[in-house]
Amino acid sequence: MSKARQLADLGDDFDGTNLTLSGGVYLGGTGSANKLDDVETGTFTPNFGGASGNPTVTFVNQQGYYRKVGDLVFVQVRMTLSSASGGSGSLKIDGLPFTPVADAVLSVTRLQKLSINVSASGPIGILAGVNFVYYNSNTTGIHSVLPTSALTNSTSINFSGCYAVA
Amino acid sequence: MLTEETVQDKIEIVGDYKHVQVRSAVVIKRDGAEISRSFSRHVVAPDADITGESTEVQAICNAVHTQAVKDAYAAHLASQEV
Repeated sequence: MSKARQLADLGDDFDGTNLTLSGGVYLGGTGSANKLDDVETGTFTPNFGGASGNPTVTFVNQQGYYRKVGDLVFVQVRMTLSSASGGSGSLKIDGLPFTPVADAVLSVTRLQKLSINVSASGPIGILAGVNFVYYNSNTTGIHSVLPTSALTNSTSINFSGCYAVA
Repeated sequence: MLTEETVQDKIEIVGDYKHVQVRSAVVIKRDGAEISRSFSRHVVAPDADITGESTEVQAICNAVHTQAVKDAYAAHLASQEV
């Protein structure tokens, strides 16, 4: 089949500038591992939660951005509080745009103004099958999950990273 | 004339615990023709409060978040030991 015919077969999917495919495209091979079938960009609303009870918080910034390419999602989160109270249990960050299929870690780029001293930033832990993450501190030489009581009226956290989805 | 509407244009059920992934689209139209579509997403877990969800999402959650699924999800959370 000629290239011209192949392009013609695309029909209304190709408007001269943009190509729209409801299926996918194979890159570098014809196996399922070479197929790219989804790209999407959007926003989500991250939030602080507690494993045993959610804190009451007010945000100055509450921003989540994602880009999904195939089965990999890149997220960026920025949250800054103006008030925080209550909550119990491990501190969670709720609101992921997609549910992870495997455990992973995300990098924390900035974490400020907690009620406890965090000597070194640990990773954000993503757990398979749940749509929230935990922040792992490094206050005692081993990574442990922060409690909700670590939040203050001006806590700020930025993080980003990738995780796999179904 | 420009119009704006928000629609839930994709609702997916994923994983062992039947998380309901909801995509909301803000659609801008000029004289009826779509000129822009932007997305935001959220996920409804089996233990989530669904009172603020749309009627359609509530119906789906009620159908797939059975007591067995809720129990399995609770056990999964407990197994994470965090």
